[in-house]
Amino acid sequence: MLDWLLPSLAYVGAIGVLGITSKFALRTLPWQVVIICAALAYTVTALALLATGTTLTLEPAIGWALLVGALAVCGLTFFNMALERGEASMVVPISASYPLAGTLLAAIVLAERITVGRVAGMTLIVIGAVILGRAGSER
Amino acid sequence: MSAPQATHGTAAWLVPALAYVVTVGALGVGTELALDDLSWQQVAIWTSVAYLAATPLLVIKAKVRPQPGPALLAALASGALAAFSLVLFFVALGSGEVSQVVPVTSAYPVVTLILAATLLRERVTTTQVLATALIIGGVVLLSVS
Repeated sequence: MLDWLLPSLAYVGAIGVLGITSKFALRTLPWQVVIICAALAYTVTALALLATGTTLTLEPAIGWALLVGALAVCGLTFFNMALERGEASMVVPISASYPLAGTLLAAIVLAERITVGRVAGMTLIVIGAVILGRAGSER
Repeated sequence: MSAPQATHGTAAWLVPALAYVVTVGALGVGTELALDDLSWQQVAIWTSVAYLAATPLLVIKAKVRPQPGPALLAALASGALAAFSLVLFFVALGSGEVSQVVPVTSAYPVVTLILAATLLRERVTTTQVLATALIIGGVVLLSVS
């Protein structure tokens, strides 16, 4: 159980802190600088993976991987644009609702089934996001 | 170095936040398709290629020369956390089921709320806490259903 729980908890800490460090940086720096720093960190990660034996092969699936990369860049850009303009305590919880979009897209693209439980989950997410949006507009 | 323009109003942050939700939702689907034929390490390397490709444009657009200081350190920490968290997520998924990993990892806004209130001195209301709990609860339901 610890095999997956420890990295999961470390992920919770890392992403939880990410919103705070980004907000702090964005008080004086433009969002582009944060993305450039992420590019730097991803490059170090890639070099570490290549140095430890990961090999790259040219195959059609690379197209999906590059799309994932492009979406990751766009996602982090939108996240930082939102953090530049709003409070971390509003932006981060709303951003956490991305599995809603993932579930809908998976149903459309991958023909995954939408069960009653998933509809209930999506409803909770939408209610939470709407409440946060309204709370933000009242400030 | 000039400070970014502060933009007020909910739409100013809500629109990019919702764009993030859609983008990362699509990212999840794309990752699932990529992982059919590639390892997570290969996907991470190609992700870094995309970041590198975007960097020249970002350098031109940023129009600043960040000076060494707390803000740049925080930006570097954010970059490192973004890359590190991707690896952690893949490592967790390598050992556990999606239905186990996603509910646990979806709790990260709790950490942000606590740190935003204590370190950034943001006002965190009961409504925000309840709304965040609803979103996390919804994500948990999505992943276990």
